[in-house]
Amino acid sequence: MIEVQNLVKKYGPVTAVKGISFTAQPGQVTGFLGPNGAGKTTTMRMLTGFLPPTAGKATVAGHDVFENSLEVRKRVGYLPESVPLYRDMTALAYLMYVGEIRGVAKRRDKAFEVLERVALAHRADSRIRTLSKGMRQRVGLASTLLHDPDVLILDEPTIGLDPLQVLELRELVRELGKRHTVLFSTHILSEAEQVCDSVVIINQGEIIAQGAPVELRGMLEQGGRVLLRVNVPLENALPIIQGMSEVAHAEISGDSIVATPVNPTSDPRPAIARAIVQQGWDLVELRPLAVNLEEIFLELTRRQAAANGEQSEAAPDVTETESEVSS
Amino acid sequence: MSAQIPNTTPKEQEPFIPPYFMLILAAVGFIVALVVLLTQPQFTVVGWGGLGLGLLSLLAWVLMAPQQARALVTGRTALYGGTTILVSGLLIAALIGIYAFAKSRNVRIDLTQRENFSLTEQTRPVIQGLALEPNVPNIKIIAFYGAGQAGTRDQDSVLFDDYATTSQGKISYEFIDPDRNPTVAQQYNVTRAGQIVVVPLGADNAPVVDKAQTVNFLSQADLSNAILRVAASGDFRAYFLSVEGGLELEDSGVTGMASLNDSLKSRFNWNTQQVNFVDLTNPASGITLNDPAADGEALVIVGGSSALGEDQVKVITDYLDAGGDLVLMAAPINVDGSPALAVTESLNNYLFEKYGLRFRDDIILDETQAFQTPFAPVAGTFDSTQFVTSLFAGVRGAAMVMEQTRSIEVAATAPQGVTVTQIVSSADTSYAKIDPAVLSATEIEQVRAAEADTKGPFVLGATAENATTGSRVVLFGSMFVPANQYDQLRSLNVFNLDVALRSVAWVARFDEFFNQIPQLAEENRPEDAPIFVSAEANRNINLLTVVVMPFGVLLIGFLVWWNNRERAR
Amino acid sequence: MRQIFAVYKREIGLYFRSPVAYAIAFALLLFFGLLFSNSISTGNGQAPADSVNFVPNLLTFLLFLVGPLLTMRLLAEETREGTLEVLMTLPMRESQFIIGKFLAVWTYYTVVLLLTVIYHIILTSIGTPDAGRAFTMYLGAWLYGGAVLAVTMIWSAVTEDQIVAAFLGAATVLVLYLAEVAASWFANLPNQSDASGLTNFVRELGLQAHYEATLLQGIIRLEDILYFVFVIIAALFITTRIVEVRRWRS
Repeated sequence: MIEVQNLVKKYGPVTAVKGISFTAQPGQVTGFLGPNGAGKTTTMRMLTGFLPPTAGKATVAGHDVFENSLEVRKRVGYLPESVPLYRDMTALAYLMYVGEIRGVAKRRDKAFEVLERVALAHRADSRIRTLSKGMRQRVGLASTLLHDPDVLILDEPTIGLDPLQVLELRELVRELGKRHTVLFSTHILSEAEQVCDSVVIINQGEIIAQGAPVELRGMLEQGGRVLLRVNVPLENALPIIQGMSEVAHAEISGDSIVATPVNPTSDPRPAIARAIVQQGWDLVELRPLAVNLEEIFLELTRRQAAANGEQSEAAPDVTETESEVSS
Repeated sequence: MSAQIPNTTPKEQEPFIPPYFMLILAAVGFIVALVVLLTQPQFTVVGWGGLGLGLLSLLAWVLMAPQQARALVTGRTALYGGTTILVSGLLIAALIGIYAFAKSRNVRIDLTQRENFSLTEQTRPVIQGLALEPNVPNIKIIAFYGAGQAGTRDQDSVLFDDYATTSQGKISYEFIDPDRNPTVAQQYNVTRAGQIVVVPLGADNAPVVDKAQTVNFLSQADLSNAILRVAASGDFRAYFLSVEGGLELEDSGVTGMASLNDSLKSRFNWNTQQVNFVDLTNPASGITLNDPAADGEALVIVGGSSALGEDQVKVITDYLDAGGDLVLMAAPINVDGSPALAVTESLNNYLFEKYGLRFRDDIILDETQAFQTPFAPVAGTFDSTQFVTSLFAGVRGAAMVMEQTRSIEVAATAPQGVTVTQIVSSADTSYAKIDPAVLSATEIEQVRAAEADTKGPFVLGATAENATTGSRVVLFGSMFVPANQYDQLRSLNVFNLDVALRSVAWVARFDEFFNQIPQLAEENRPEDAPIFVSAEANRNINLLTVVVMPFGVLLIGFLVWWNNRERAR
Repeated sequence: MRQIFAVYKREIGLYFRSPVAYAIAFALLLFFGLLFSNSISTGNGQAPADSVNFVPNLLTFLLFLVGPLLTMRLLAEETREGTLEVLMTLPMRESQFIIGKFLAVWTYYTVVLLLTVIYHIILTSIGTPDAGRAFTMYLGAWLYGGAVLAVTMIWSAVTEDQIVAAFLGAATVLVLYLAEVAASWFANLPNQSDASGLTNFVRELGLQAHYEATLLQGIIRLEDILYFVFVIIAALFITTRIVEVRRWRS
């Protein structure tokens, strides 16, 4: 259980985290989503007691991260983004070391157990410097599991892994989410959608949306625009759509038409479909426009930029996001 | 300060004085202490006050705001560098405070087995004895150590502390920088840093500079002996009788006795005085012979070219009969043949009768064993048991120059209860002439040994002690024995002045006074012995230290590295 | 305690597996060995054993080189590799972490110092060195080493660059070593008629004033022992605070 209330972090004049509030429930994977530099790592460091918050309050596993840092640390497993490990130690020795500092009973057995959970038991006696990036990531993850933490905080654990490793790790995190409170940060939207039970979207130190991926999708879908493709020239079809009473606005976008309904809560698709069929045309595609997190995210950051009156600073991040997704 | 410490519970009742006030107070206290420390030569009451205030306020603050204090030290609440610097400063100040306090407690332990910095088993009872002796004055050790000798000061203060505690405070010590206090240094004739002066303290605890003893290099034996000398500066008096043609006490010329006088006064702490016969019998002169208040006294007669009157002889014989002590150094025979003081018949007979010794009216010459002239024969035979000469008997080439000396006749059997010792004798080649004409001889033949001359060796110095009366007498054939000129001949092992000094000391039993307080010699400790290695052992040591140890470590390192590498594969 | 011990164990293992540590020990022992055997040969039959018992004193001097070499990586490496972030999110205080590290490097130094006791043992077989003096001499060298290591460790916390840490450490130790010289130079200034307080302060701030004249000669003074202990405490405290402040500003 993680509860965050108005958490603020300032680095001198720069405010990295601007008073965010959210909750991560036990038995769930909470995705912490945002572009690079959004404040994800800073927030996570505050939650693990590594950084002191400038203002606000955060409770992790029932203890204040600031007042009771040591108690929080006992109950949290934290994997930093860079996964720092002692390269000259063997995986087992490293786990034993962390286990000893944590005061884990039956350290050796426990270390083997977590190594098995991350499918690395066969490399227990290998020096960490000889392990691949993915294996190191898993050693790091194993070290956070040693003491059966109530809360797991994983900072971009999939970064730098090859696709297969990414899949394995996502599977592992989903698995862990069943038993622990997992806070999982990523800047890859599809990943959050796949892994997380709930998502917190953060940009420029502010939360711009939170909820289950389904909820977020629904939020945009209702009242959302629809995309339409037909097998006649779009110029012919556009007046028909514009002339419909349900459609407030329609325009050509690429090889399709985007239509905005008059009433956002009612779905215009059945009416549009009927109108096309009446014309004797063939309907090639008809679907809601905002269907995945990527689009939700783009939309949200666009809205945030508009609201702030800024000419979206997030724009370059978004392009980066897109490229990540397409990979 | 406390503003930076968040989460002070507002519900808590505000104390009468806000806790941070205590912190400010502590800081003020420490600053005051620091300023005093840095600017004042002594860490005065103000400094201690500041330090105490600082520590107490800090303590009060800890008691008033325990959470804050804990939070500050365990350090989760101190958010900014400023607080960190403040807290570190307070910690360091507190540590310095404890350090200063510990330093003032003066806790030292000398762990050396050779007891370099504490009193040896030999010294300790002596110093303890001084503490118990009410007549011993308070004594101060003044170490004139320069600014560059801070380490030596630290070291030696450990030894001085032991003197102070062992003597139950009778001995105190002080360090004075001779460069900063040149006047004080000059007062004690200190010429260089590192000299130590031991000085008795008078009634008002003011140092009696005249009686100060100087130790040039600190050694425990030397320092203890200096302390003993200062402590034992008992009441010893030497009366030098003014006689016709005698040597003068204050005369610093070639034939004066200033050197002897100086030694008696500065080295032995004696009172010396030039007196005449009238003074000896006149109570108004302040001189009391055989004064029971004195620890020892000596009547010294050096020279005297004319015979004494009977009343004068009586003064001397009465004095001796009452246990008085006499040193008599005879003037040479007179050219006109008249008797000199030493051969005044009544005196000479008295000495022979009571002490088995008398002067002959002759002059001893020696052509071979002589210093520059046959009139100054060299006496090289010393008695090795008598205090006066024992020190020199064993010294190679030790000699006395006996200028224009008489010989001494020693009775075949000493009088009852009298111990006679011949302490100095001339060489075989010496001979005695009785004709004073030799003094005005113009031909060398007149000086050479003649058939009629008695041949040496002759007794030129002798001591006698009457066990019954305690009276002691030392006779020397030459009045030039204590002359200043022999000071420069010490390097040639001419010990005239030393023998003269010891003669005066012996008759007054100054040696016994000293001997009853043990003279401390440098002790030889096993630690002082040099190392000894055989060639073989040396080779083994070389092998062990240069090859086995370093390369062994290197080998172990290599093995560990290799083992690691193998395992990493 | 558990945390201190865990850190200590890891660090000590590193020292005793590190070729650098063996190389340092080798260089020191070779240097000492050459000087020692040479002075045995020249002092044979002449010099008392105590005058040949110079190794601890020499070691304390060489600490200005050895200390920074030993401590430079302790914290700099952890900061640089980012492992500090993991460690500082484990249930362990900075102080425990730093004490563990310090104890490890002090242990390494202690082992080297104990190796040099062999010179004293050799001396007892060929002469009579003062055993009490030898004890305080080694005790002093041990505390002296602790203080130097603790002080040089501060720089390892300040900078991530090990070389910079080593240079700054060496400079600091030299300054502390030479404080006594500075004090006596200061005392000899012509116009310093009455600044003995400042002179003493500078002198007693330095390391030598607490070793050379006292512990090295067989005298134990409470304030000397406290000085070394307090330097260790203060240096470890400062190191802790620096690590903390640097972390919070990261």
